[in-house]
Amino acid sequence: MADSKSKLNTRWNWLKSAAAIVISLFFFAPFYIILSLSFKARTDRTSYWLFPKEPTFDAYAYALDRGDIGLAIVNTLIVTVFSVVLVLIFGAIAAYPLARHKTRINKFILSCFVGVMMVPPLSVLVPIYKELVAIGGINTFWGIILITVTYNLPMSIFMFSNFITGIPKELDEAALIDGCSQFMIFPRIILPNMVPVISSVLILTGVAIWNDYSFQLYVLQKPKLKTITLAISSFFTEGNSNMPAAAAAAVLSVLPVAIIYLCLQKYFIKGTMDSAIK
Amino acid sequence: MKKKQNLGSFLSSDPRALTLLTLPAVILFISFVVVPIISGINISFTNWNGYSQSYSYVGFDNYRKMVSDPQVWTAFRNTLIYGFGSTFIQTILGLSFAMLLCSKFFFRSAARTVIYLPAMVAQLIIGYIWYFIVTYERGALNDILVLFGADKVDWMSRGMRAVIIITIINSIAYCGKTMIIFIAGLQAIPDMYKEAASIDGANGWQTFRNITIPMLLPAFTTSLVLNIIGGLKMFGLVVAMTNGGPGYASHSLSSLINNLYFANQQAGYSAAVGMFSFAFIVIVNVLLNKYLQKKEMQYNG
Amino acid sequence: MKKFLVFMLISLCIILPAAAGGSSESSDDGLHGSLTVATNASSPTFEAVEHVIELFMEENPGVEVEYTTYGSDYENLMKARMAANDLPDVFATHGWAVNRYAEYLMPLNDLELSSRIAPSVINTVTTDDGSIVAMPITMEQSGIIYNKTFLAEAGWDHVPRTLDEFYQCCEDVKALGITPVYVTGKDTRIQANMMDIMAVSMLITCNEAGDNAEALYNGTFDWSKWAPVSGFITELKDRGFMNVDATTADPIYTQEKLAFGEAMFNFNNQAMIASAWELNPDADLSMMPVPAFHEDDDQIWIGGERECYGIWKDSPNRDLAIALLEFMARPENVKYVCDMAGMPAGFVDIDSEQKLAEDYAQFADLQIYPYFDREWLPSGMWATMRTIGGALTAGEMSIEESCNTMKDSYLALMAQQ
Repeated sequence: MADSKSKLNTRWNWLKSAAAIVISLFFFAPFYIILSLSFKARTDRTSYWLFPKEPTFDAYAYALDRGDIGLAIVNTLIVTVFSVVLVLIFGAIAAYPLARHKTRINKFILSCFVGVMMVPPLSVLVPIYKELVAIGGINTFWGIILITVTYNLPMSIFMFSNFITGIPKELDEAALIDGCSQFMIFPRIILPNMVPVISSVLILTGVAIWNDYSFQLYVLQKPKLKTITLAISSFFTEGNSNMPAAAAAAVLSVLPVAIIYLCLQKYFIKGTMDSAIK
Repeated sequence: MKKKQNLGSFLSSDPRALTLLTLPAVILFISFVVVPIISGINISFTNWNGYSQSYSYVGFDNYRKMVSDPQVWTAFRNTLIYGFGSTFIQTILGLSFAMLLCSKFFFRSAARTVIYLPAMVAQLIIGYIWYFIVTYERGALNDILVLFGADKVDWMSRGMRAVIIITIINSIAYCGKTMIIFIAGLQAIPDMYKEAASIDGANGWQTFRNITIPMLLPAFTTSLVLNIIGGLKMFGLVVAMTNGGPGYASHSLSSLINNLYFANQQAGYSAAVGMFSFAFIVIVNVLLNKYLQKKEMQYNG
Repeated sequence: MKKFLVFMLISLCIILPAAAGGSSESSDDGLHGSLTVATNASSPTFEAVEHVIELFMEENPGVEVEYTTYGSDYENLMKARMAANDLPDVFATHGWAVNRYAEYLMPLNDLELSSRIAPSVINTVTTDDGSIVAMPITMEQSGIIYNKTFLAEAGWDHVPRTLDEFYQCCEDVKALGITPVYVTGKDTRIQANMMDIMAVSMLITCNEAGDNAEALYNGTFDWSKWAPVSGFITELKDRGFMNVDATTADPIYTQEKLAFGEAMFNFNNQAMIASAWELNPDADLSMMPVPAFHEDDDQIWIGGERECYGIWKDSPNRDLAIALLEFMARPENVKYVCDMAGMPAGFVDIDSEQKLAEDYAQFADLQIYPYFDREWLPSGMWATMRTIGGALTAGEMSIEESCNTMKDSYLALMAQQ
């Protein structure tokens, strides 16, 4: 009886494996197509499904040279790193009082922040653009960083305050009795406990900012400031119709995130789970 | 002197002083959310073309125009489909994948990795990749059709079909996140419950219906909220797949706003549509939160 | 008076930095500094101009020029930059030198190069008060791109002369199993361009045009007359003369479609032919004039300045910008760009080699007119034409609705002026 059940289980598992493989193939197909296209010559007009018989790196050379993908990756890194650091700092220090002391004003502030998560950034495109023009933030990294930080802060505040609520309040009280000033509780007591959630926020906002597109198009107009998403969209313009190069640029832009993801997979998954805790 | 002491003691012992820590976030919030919204309301009453130094106030003209503008209503309808349609499909896909990939077997982790991978990629790039799949000319999908002797189809040529395809692609690309949220939810269900159910003679469906679903409710709530917001904000995917076409049939509110502002030189009108979409999304979320809170209370109580 | 002031300003600009240069530590008296130059050009024009700019930097080692193309984002970005009053030192005016950019451009009348600008194009870069605000390196003489081999295969010994002949030719080509008109409607610029060209023939140059031009200038135009222009799009669509994916094809495909002989007609300028030759040098492509509306009307060319540069009047590097423009205007450099781009020169006495020269020579007596929206519409109508063009191709709009949309948009923009 037990034997037949485990046999059934094994068969079930093989079936599940088969299903998983089919699903994976389906999800990988788009990436395969873009890879195969990126290795084709410009005059190769065979189906995208067929990997070129003589793969060429011309498209990559073109993307790196003409499309300046290398520079775009550096720019994107600059924007992403500075934004993420600011999001982490501002988010963490703001989340502490909001999570610990649910005064009326704190509750109000928190609900405003959570409200920002819902604002489609483009609905305020026009006024933000005008504002940036007025303060000279167009074509500057600090301009895009400020906007990016603002629109990514709410998520981090939300996750941080959820997490801090879970840290026992007794720790704070004990520290206060020991003569710790209330502003020192956060760095001494709370911060060391926050390491796991910081990694989650880091990953989530990092990926979101790396992939951002909506404001960069308008804030970063100088080609030297071009970020990766902008660089790719510029391959889709009339006359510059080099499809393999566009594909190569897409591959190059996905590669860094994909590699980091494959190495740190478990943190990515944990991050997504953290964002879900209500 | 006395005042200073008060300030000092306020800072050192009154918990309300801690609110000062939110200051950097609050300043950013006011400068780049509150001020733009107010000035957006202001611009929405003008006929500004987006670049000239002068413009004039036109009262409610932009809003009046919006009511009778088929572009806005189409974009509004599409935004609803993008938001709620993606949520629906993502929830089904995410839950199915989560159920499948919950227990251990060969290839499970690899499948999880691959399904989650597109969620790491920018919407715009996902859009361009899929453009090569659904496009008429040498599109990957059409190549398969031709292989089986069928005729090529111009997939994105009909407005509604384009909207549905974009919704499906959005769901496929980002269902990995939903899947992870559900896997977390499933793992949190104590085995005890299922064992108890099977002792009571419940079949698989009954267990799923009466134990799994209610226990997953918090996961449902979050994935729903995240997906609806994500769908309603849809921009890059539309730009890359159809650029809002054919005609204006597949615009989302975001892509339409972008198009009106820069391509059409109607910044005032664009701002009016922006304010409308902002108000709409806030209302959807308030209602959604109210509803879900009530639902959760029912189950918990 | 104004000229005098400009002259003074220019000389000041030349003298001041020279004086500053004298006091600086550097001992050589060449030019120093950096310039930003922006364009929407694509290859091969872009590469050609880039090459000329590199030569300029070789000649002036102290100067760093950042030359970039923004492709199809160019217009949007320039608008944004005008809003911010922060323009590149030197920028391409893509047909809008007078109507959109004039107030931001420095008059070039006092430069030697202005005396060499070709008479056929000088009006398009001259404002009402006589300022020459931009320098056209190449000029455009466009109609419809066609494939010569297919024309012959379809049994035609001449390019279609009238609109009816054009439709007939489409019919004949279609019978051969070839796409008559290739439209890339994912970007609705193409439809707008088609109407922009046909509108000149249908509303301005035909015999029955009457005082349309005058009415368009003063705001009294009867927009029901626009119907044949919209009708051109719907006719091509309804009779199956467009490619199946006319509403969804990305312009990224145009080049290969033309290069590998899979389409008969395409509405683009000569630059597209040159791009197609990059992929396939044997592509049998040429340019034909815009067909006449009726039997007794004339065919026309559409054109004006093409790769054309002006100097931002508030540029902090005006002396460098002037030096660059003068360098680019040297006959050998103009010739180089024209040869590479396959386009006629915007300057006199340039003997450029063009593959299409013979074909153009056949129509030497035809007149060149500007694009419809650049001359007869208020700035901003291009967007409306894109909207209706897209909607007409997709069947979302009737001809009548499209006329009304044009009218509303026209009246609103005239009121803004």
